[in-house]
Amino acid sequence: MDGDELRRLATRVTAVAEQARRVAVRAGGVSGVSWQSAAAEAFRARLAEEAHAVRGAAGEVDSVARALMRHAQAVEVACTPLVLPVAAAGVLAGRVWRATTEAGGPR
Amino acid sequence: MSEALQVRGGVGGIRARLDDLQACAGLLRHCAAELGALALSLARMLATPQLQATVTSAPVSLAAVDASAAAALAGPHGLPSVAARLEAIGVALGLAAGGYRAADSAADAAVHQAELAAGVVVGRAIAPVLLPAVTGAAAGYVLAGRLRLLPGSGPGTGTGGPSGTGNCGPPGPLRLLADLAGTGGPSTEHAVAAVPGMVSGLPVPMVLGTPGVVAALASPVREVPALAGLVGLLGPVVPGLAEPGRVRVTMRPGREVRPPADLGDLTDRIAGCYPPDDQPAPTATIRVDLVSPEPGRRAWVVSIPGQQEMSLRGGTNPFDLAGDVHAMARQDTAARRSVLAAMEQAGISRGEPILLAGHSQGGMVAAGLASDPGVRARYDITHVVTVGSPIAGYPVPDDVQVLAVEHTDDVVPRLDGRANPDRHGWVTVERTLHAPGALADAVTAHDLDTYRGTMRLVDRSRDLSVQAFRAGLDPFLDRPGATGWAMEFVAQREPVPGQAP
Repeated sequence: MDGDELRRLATRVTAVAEQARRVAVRAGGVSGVSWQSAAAEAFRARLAEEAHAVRGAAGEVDSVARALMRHAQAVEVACTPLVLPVAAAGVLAGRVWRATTEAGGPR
Repeated sequence: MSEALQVRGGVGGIRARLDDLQACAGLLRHCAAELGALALSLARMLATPQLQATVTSAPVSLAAVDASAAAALAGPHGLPSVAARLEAIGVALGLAAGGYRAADSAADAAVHQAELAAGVVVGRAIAPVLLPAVTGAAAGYVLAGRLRLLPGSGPGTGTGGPSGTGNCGPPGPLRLLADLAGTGGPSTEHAVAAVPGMVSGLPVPMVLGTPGVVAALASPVREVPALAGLVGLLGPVVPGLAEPGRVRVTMRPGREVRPPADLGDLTDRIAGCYPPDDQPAPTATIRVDLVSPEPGRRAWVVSIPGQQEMSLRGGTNPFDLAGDVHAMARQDTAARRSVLAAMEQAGISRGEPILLAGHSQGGMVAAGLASDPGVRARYDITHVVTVGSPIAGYPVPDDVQVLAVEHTDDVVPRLDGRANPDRHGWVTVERTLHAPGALADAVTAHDLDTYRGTMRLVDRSRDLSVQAFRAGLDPFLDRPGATGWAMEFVAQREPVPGQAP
């Protein structure tokens, strides 16, 4: 996987976090049910906690996406020292071949 | 006279709230399943060999990815963990809703057991008095009938009028009893529910009637319909209780009318089915209104009157005492057949919405038709509106919207011995007419004219359940461009061959 592929993966992971947040909104909406009692109040408090927890879990998924973005950058940086010498060697080899052919070359 | 309305059932009722709880439980469980699926999807994204192959390029940042993935997928705040907790809350909420339902049903059952037990005790206590009284009354009835002394012995015995009780109403002691029962309100319902227990409490030899009566008593009589079935068995002895079910229905010429504007107009249409108070009612009238809210669409309003004939000797009007008793017993009646014949002759087709509106016995007929799978296979009855009718026990399906309007002072809606169901599609509106501490006027309370006033209040009600019901009446009510066509049908009992008319 190169940096671009890792960034695309990070985008998909961010989408998962967004879906989890939408689930949190739907679950939190259940507290509006017309139920009045002490148990209902306890239920609403617990539901608010859990909706908050779902948003927290979405945040954890966001952390994965951020880690992937950093990883993408790190992979690109790690690849750079290898790419430059290879490119330089290619350029050098080209110049040597041209010099050789122009100086006397096969006659 | 108080204008306050008590509303039970419908979208604002307890059952609807339990339905809401159950729906919310389902929603939470669905959310939990969705979070679980998201966790699985995330795990699949991160478990690819291509991602792990980048370890050679950037092992440290990959380790950070792995650590955050572990927290998101396996930590206490991760997706699977919160999904499991949400599922648990959903299950708990569903159990709570189920528990409320079970408690509700258990309470109903316990109350009914207590009512029956109280009735049995009373039945055993009054047995020594009842035997001579019943024997004497029966002998007197037979003798008076032979001597043609009974009211209704001669021609023109109908009582007519939308009061359903005629001009004179019940005799003094009965009227006082009805007024007392009307004053009792819901307590009267419990008392009525105890009556089957009271009958069960009577020693079998007490009721030395037809073999059918004895056979019926051999099985426990637990509900009012079963008791009404027993009373109906007296038909061979008391002609006014016999229900041969034969009826002839003829259509009068139709006329163009405005469609009903509201519930008050619907009640007015029922009132128009009654004969004038001072005229005998050898025939009954059923009205069928065709409403076309727009070209090509048709809806139907069927208006059904209540009892018009009280004679124990029977008559030709199908809306009579026998109709009451047999409708209460959930049996076929001539009144029911009359309405079905009217619907057939009016040309109602399958797929066209039908609103059945009835007063007193008419309401029972409406609820009975809406509960009958055979009728529902033929017609699309979508709405039932009843005023002053005992319809609690009819198994009206959930997809039929019911509005039952009752005065707490009116004894008739209490005669089924149970409260109307509290459910999403069934709204019960109650109004108490008498002042606190005063004696109810049960006859006026059952009068359709009084109900017309109450229905005007229902039209103005801002109650959530009532508003939701009214909103569903749209296809049946007047609007710009709508047209209406009224048809009236006259129904009359046909004599049974071989019997004197």
